[in-house]
Amino acid sequence: MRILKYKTDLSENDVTPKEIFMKRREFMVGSIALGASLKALSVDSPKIEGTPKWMQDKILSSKGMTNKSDDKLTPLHDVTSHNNFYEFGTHKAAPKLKSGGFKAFPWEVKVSGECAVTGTFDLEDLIKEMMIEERIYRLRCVEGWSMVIPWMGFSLASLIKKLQPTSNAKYIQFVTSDDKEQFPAIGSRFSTIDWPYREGLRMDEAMHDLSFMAIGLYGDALPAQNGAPLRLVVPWKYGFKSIKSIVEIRFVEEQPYTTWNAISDKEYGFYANVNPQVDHPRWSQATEKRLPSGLFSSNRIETKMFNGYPQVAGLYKGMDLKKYF
Amino acid sequence: MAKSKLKLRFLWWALFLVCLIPLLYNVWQIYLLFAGADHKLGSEPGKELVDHFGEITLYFLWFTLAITPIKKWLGWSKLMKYRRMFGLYVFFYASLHILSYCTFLLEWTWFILKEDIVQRPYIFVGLVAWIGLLVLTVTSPKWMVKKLKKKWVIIHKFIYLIAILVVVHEWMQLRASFYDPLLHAVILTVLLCSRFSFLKKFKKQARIS
Repeated sequence: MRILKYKTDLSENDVTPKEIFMKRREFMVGSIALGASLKALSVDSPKIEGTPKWMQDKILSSKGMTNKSDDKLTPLHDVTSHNNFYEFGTHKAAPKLKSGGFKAFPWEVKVSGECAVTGTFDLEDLIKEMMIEERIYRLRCVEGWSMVIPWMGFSLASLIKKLQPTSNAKYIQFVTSDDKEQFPAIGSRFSTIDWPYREGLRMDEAMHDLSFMAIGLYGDALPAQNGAPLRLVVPWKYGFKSIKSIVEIRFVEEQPYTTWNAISDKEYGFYANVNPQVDHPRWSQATEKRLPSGLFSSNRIETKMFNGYPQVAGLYKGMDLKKYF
Repeated sequence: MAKSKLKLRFLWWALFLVCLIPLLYNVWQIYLLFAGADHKLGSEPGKELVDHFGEITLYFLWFTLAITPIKKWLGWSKLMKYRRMFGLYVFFYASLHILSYCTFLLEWTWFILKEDIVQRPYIFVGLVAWIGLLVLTVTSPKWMVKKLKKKWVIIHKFIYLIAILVVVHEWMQLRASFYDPLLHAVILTVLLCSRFSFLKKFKKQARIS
C-alpha cells in the first residue's frame, strides 16, 4: 500500500514566510553590492548539495525580480514535495523521496536540428551569457491543482537567439534525460511513458517573452525533484509542457513528438493551453486547487484562460482552441 | 466449550479492531495535519484520503473473496466465520472513499456531483459498484439470510460483478503506470479462476458419489 511511503521532514512552521523571504533577497542583493564574500553569505547561498560554484555565482548574479505578482507564494515545502516527475515514480511524494542519488552536475545539453549553433555543450558554457532574473509564475497542473513559484532563470528567447535557428525551424523540441542510473522509475515495465520524456513548442510560443528557462527557485538552485539543473517554464500552459532536466534541444520543421499527447491525444493536446472551457475527459478544468490545500478549506479558485496570462492570446488568433486544446 | 466460545469472541474482536487500523491511521494523520505537525497527507490531503480509502477498499475486497479459496486450499474453514465482517468492511471503506470524495474534493457541490456522474464514466461505474455493495450490506444480517433463502445466495453472487466494476473503475483512471490496475486485475482474475476450478472439482466429486 502506498500509505506508508510518504515522509516529510518539514512542517508548516518551517516554511519561510514571503516577507522574510523577500527581506532575505534584499539582504543578499545588498551584501553583494557591499562586496561581501560568498563565504559570509553561506547561510543564503544555494543549499542544494553538489551545486558547483559557477552555478551558485550564476544564481547570485540575478538582477532580481522582473515581474510583479499579487499571488501568494506557495511555500517552498509544497513546491518541493508535491511533484509530478514520473522518472522518479508516480506518487506525488516520490520525486523528493527517490531523488537522493540524482546528480545534476556535470550536465551536458545537446543542441541539434535547424540551427547554426549545434553540438554538445556543458551547461555552464550554454548559459554563460544568459542574464539571470527572478520571475513569479503561476503553475497550473492539468490534474487540477496549482502553485505560485518564484523561479530563477532566463528567457527562453535569449537562449534561442544564441543558438541561431534557421528559417526552417518551426518548432522546438526538448528532451529529458533518460539515464536509468539517475532515474529509478525509468526501468519500470509498467509505465505508459515511452522514455525519454519529450515536449515541444511552436517557435513563436518559444520566443514569447513569458517562456522561461529555470535553473533555480526560491533563490536557490533547482532541487532534483523540480527538474535540476535546467527546465522549461511555460506559465500559460499545463504543467506537463514545462519539461524538466533537459538534455537535448532540437529545432525542427514539423510538430514534434510530445509525450502526453502521444499517450492519449484525447486527454492531452499538443498546445495544452490552460483553458477553463475545455475539460479533461475525467475532470473539469473550470476550477483549480491552489496549494497547499486544506482538508475542509480546499482553496479552490476559478481557473483563468491562459492561466491568467492574456498577453499570449495573440499567438492563437484565428485558432479554434476547443479543437487545438 | 465455553472456553472455545470465549476464544472465538476474542478473535472476532481482535480482527474487528485490526480492520479499523487503516481508518485510525488516517484519523491520526488528519489530527497531525490540523495540529500543524509533520503528516503524511501531502499538499492535497483531500485527494490523498480519497485515494487511501479507495485502495483500502480494494484490499478488503480481496480478503473477502480470498476466504473461500483459502478454506478449500488450506482447510481453514473457521475463516468463514469472519467473511461477513470483511465484506462489511469493504462497504465501510468504500463509503469512506465516496464520503471523502464528496466532502474534500466536491465540498458537496451538487451540480459537480451530478456532472461527474453523468459525464464521467469512471465515476458512474464506481457509484454503481457502491450501490451494489449497499444492497449486499443491507441483506447481510442473519435474519435476512434466513428470510431470503436461495435468493440471498443469488444476490450475494453479485459481489463478483461488483469486483469487476471496481477494477474497471481503477483501470479507467490509468495514467502513467499500469502497475496498480494490473496488480488488482491479476488478483481478481486469480480469485475468480479459483472458483471455476473448484466448481468443476465439486461437480466431479458429486458425480462420483
